[in-house]
Amino acid sequence: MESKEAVKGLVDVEELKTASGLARRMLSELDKIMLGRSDLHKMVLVGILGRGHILLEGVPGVGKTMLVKALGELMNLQFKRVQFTPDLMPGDILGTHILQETDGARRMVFQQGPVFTNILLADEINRASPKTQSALLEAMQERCVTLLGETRSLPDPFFVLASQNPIELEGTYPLPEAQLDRFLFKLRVDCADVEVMKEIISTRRRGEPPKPGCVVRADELAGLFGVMDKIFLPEPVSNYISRLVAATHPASPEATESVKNYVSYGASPRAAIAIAEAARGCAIFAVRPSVGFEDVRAVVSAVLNHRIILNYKAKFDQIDTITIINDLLGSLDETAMNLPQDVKIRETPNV
Amino acid sequence: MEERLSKYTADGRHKADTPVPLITRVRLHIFLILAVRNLLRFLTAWAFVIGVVIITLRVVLTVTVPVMLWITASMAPGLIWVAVVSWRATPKHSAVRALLDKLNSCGGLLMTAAEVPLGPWRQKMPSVAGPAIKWHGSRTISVFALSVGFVLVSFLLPQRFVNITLARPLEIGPDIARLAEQVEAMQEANIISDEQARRLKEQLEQLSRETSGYDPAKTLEAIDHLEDVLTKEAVKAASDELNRMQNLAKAESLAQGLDEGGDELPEELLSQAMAELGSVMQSLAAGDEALKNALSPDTLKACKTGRFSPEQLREILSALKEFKGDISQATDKLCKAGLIDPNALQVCNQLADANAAGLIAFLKENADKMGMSEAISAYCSSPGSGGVSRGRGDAPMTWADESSKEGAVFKERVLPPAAMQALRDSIKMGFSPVAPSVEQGIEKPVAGGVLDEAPAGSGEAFKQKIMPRHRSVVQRYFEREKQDSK
Repeated sequence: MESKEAVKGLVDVEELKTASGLARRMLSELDKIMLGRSDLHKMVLVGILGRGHILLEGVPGVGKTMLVKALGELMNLQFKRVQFTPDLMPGDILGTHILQETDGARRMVFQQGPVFTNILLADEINRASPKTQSALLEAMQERCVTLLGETRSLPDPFFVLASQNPIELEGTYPLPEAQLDRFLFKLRVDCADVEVMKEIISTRRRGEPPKPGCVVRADELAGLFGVMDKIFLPEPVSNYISRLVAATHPASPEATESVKNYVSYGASPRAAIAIAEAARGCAIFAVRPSVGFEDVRAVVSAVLNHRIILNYKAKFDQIDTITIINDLLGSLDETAMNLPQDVKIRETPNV
Repeated sequence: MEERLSKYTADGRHKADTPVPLITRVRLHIFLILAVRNLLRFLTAWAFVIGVVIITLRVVLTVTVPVMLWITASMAPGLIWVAVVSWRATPKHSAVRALLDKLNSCGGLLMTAAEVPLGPWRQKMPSVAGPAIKWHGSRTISVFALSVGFVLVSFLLPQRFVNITLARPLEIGPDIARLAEQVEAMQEANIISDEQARRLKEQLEQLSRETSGYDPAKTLEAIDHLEDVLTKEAVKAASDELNRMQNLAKAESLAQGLDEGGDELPEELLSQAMAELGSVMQSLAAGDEALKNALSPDTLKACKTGRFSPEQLREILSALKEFKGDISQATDKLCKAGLIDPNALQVCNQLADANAAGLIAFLKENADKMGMSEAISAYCSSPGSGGVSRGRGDAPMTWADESSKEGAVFKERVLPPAAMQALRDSIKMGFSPVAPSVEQGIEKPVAGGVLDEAPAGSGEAFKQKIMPRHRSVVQRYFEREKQDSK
């Protein structure tokens, strides 16, 4: 993210159109590969544009792994998949030093783990023990791995696309908050509706998806990330994001009643950064050089839903984070005009 | 260059990127709405406070209208406060810009235009229109109207309604005590029954308990009513008592007179006097059982026949004195309670002290002309013994032979027609406390006789002939009276 001093002007119109076209093409390809999930695909691509890690949550068989694999193929990036199991060790992910004999000399050689890739699919990440899950903390945040005092950078770009099953709790280890916070989005993958399933079973033999029609090259992807950096974030929007994240804390003056009643801990500043980045991705899809309030509202739910920690009262009352976030979005005025309750501004302007 | 200067601001931004006039208009609109809203709220609170203050001051002190108007001047600092608060609550430029961006679906371009030049993106920005701002102030206006009504009431409420709001006690304790004393006196004098006295006392207690300054007229009317009831009863009782006392005095004087000087009366007058005494005693005995019991049957029988022996007369005197003591005691109580006029009571007491010898002399002199009953009543009901040479100054004069009119009446003379005409033509100029002056040198009429020295047609008083000498006439009248008495 560039500072405002660095932004001398808005992104070039043609440059943005090209980037937006590329993003839309990727979305179109994903929509072809996986049917009926356009919104999910868009959010995944927004997460990718924001260089964030994505946690996909859904019951088995809804296409989480297939989505990640299709994304890897589409972007022509190195893709590795790790099936997380309870006996998986950190070395199995990060790599390990192996004693090798070369030319009569024995020395420890670092054998890279699957984390050294562009797209890492952490399948059923909650099945691994916390120790193994924690092995990903540095990789996800710092995009590097430190072993035996030696730090090795991960390939750029580096994404962790993890999946987890929310209903099968036996033999699983819930992700620690520190790791959850490192995921840009937590997206819920729901079951496809009847029409989509009908189309799947009628057009795809054994459910195998078609190969992507085009592949996004690395330079194209780099250009896309470059455009992302030029998307302008106006001050009122950044102010709105800050107020929104601050309002997730029960002690905040702008916290809603639901936040005060049901939230133990609100979102971190990392969430505000994530919202800003994800909103930029939405702006690219909308072919706009600046972020608007609608971009923020589009990504807030995906960014905050795994960062707000509810209390036991919320569990008793069956209140989830989505309800809390919707309440926040409904009560917080984007423009911060702070007008009295009896002074109303009509949504549709006088034209 | 000129076109560039006209289209771009100093920092190189296109003027169309910054719709400042629209933002300013929206801000001004919001400021006005907030100002009206805050003004009404302030005035509502102020009106209620000032209304309470005005009413309090009007109750505690007597606040004049100019003072009340000066109090309204306290509104001025509040108006300044309203303006400041409204201005501070008005959204900033950036907030209004964000609002316009949001409402016009500018996607952040309008907000961005405030920070960086839009360049070619300006063409992508949709047209920006102002929002519709509405204030739902019906409740505020209603409460404001109520408060204005309250202030008007506090200003225009008549002072008498303000006064009744105070719980001012009405001091009627002395009146209640006086009435209670009268009730007790009447109860003791058997003027009212015990039940009636109890009811009156209850009414007095209730009146004392429920009285207040809210409606003093009502309380005072109630007191007046009770006093009127008591007075009527007392006056009636007092009248009866006074009548009895007069009869008593009459009977006592007559009995004493007959006992002491009955022999001086001619036989006929004596029998008439005894018959009158018997009649009075019968009426007294009929009205009081104690007196009746105090008299012996023979005496009672003598009352009917009108023939009393000296012993019976003394018995009557003794009974009347005892009876008189009881009545005096009762009347004294009524008098102390203010229910009987003390002067009337004093007159009755004086009647009782009538001179028996004087009565016999009076009867001997006047009973034939006035009748026995009237003569006794006249003697007993008025002080003095009558006549010119007897009794006090305020005693009525009784006349024997009519006095001669000689020297006391003017001699009638018929005036001539000219003199009559002159009198008719005369004009009254006024009254003089002194004797009219007679102008000398007036031409005398030619005719002689009664018209001698009378002025012709002047209408003036005629000193020697017309004006009487009153003083000398009265003097002559009394001189003649003396001569008559001689």
